[in-house]
Amino acid sequence: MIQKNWWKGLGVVILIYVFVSGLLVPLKPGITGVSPGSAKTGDVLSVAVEGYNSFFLKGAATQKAWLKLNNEYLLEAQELEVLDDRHLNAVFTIPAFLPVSGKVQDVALILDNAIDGPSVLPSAVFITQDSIQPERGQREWPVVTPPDLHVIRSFAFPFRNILAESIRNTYFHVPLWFAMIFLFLASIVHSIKYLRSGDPRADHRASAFTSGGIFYGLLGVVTGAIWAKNTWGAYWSWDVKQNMTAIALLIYFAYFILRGLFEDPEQRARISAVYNIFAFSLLIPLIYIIPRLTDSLHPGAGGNPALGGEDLDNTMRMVFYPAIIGWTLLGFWMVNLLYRIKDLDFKYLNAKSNR
Amino acid sequence: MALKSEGMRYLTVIFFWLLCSTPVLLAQQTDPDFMRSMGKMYVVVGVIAAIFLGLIVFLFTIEKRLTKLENQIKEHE
Amino acid sequence: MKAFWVLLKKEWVLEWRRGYAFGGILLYLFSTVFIIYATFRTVDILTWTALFWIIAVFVSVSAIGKSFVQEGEGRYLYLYTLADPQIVLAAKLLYNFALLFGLNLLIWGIFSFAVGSPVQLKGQFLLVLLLGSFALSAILTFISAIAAKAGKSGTLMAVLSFPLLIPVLLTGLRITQNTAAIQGMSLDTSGDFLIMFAIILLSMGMGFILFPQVWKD
Repeated sequence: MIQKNWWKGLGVVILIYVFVSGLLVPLKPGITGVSPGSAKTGDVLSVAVEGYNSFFLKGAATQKAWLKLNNEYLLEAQELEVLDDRHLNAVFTIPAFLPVSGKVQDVALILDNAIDGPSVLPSAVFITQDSIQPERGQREWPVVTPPDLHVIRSFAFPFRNILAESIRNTYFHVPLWFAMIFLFLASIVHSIKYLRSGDPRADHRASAFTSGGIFYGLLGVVTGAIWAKNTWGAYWSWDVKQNMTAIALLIYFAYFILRGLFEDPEQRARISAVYNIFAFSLLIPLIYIIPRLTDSLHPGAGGNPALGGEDLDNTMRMVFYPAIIGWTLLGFWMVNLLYRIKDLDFKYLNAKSNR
Repeated sequence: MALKSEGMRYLTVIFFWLLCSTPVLLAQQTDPDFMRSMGKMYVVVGVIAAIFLGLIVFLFTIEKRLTKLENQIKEHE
Repeated sequence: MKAFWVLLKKEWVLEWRRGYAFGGILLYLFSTVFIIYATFRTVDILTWTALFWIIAVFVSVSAIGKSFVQEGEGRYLYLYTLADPQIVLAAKLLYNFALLFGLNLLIWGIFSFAVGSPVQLKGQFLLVLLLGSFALSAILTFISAIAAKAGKSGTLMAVLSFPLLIPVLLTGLRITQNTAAIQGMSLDTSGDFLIMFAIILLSMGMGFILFPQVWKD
């Protein structure tokens, strides 16, 4: 019993780890907002900054703030007033001209202290200028000299502005897709096995794995919709990856409709196995090639790898990779139950109603 | 028999969709500010609730199939 | 090899003997274009390309849908003794490709006649028509064999094939829009052509590997 089913226990243990660490590990300090969000050139700008998970009081002695323009110019705050752990005021004297030839320019706000480490809010303030003189602006804005920011090594997930705490969905929504692909792959393997051996049990496994894949696919769509609504503003944004998944689900619904049309179990198993393999092989360009051609809201668009650099830091990897394994094992467990029922059905009732 | 089981399948799918869309509907009912309060933590809660409901639907279907099979085997014997 | 040509000729003869099927497709084509003209009068580039490919897909599905259904049980058995399944598939595929390419050219012709044609890069457009017809026929021929086995063709054919045709459709659309762009503004479409090639290779390769399984009974 234990020897045969150890992987189910492993899946559960991994998922417990994923849930506990995925929900309890705190986020790194970040900036949720500033006010006012706009200024004019020549102003003495006093911005009220709201922090998230920050310790401004503890780090007040080493607290610094900058406005960064285009990765080229860096303006340090003249005065800093820490109100409490979450709030501080920073005063900047903005030069009379911008170093760019546009009328409006956004600048990022960077905070740093010894306790929190650096945090960034992109496009925090929009600066407007009336007359455009880039040459003067280039003289007046201080050029970036990399400040020594404090490097804090803490076990925490990164803070991203539109995501905030919902970054934790990386462990609950994203792995469902990976697990779905693994389940479909397993289904293909069993379809191939069926075509080679003609063993009806292989067909049961193939169709059970497909059901499991569809189940995860639907869950992925639903969880993705909830997440998307609160980050991109709509449940369904006709994003390339969403469309591709919808198509994948259509293909596998068609697979079940095809299965339903055959009376003869042997023919049903054979033809549906053939369709399964054929459809999956055409899914490969669909899921992986076409999204890279067009713009997508999802990370990984435009040719950059989905799991590199900015999107996933090392702390997140420590939860994300186990999450993929855990959800996949759970999926295999569910499928295992499904095909055992099918096997029993076949054995005792000779597969009349076993679709 | 075959038709009945097919009908059951569609019913289950519809049931699944209804159940799965509850968190979405709930999220629609609730104030978006609520979902986004506490650093959008409730978005995570919503996602986990959806997965939980999905698992319950799965248990439900397994239950149904197993009961059907048990009854059929009983009749068979 | 001889069997291949015999089968190819058989397709051709059958098509002409049952002229109403081909006539039906032509009528379908004409009436669709007429409806489009009646509703749109003038179409912009985006609508033109979308309509073109959608019509091409629908026409292909109805043209190839009958490909295997028309072979009754008896003829199946006869063909089975006559030739390798791969040769049967190859003959069907080549015939369907020629048919689709001809139909697509016809759609282009009728479109240009009725609502005009925004295509600037004619060579590139011909190439995408050629590749698109090939991809469509490779996928649809195989699916029609599956649908014929299930005994129900019409809707099943659509259900089984539409999700598989979407990548062809999207890639074709992208390239076509590019051919209609103003000179010098065109994007690099070599990636799209590569995808089209990949789809053709995949569908043909999988088709030839899997077809014997569909064929045997």
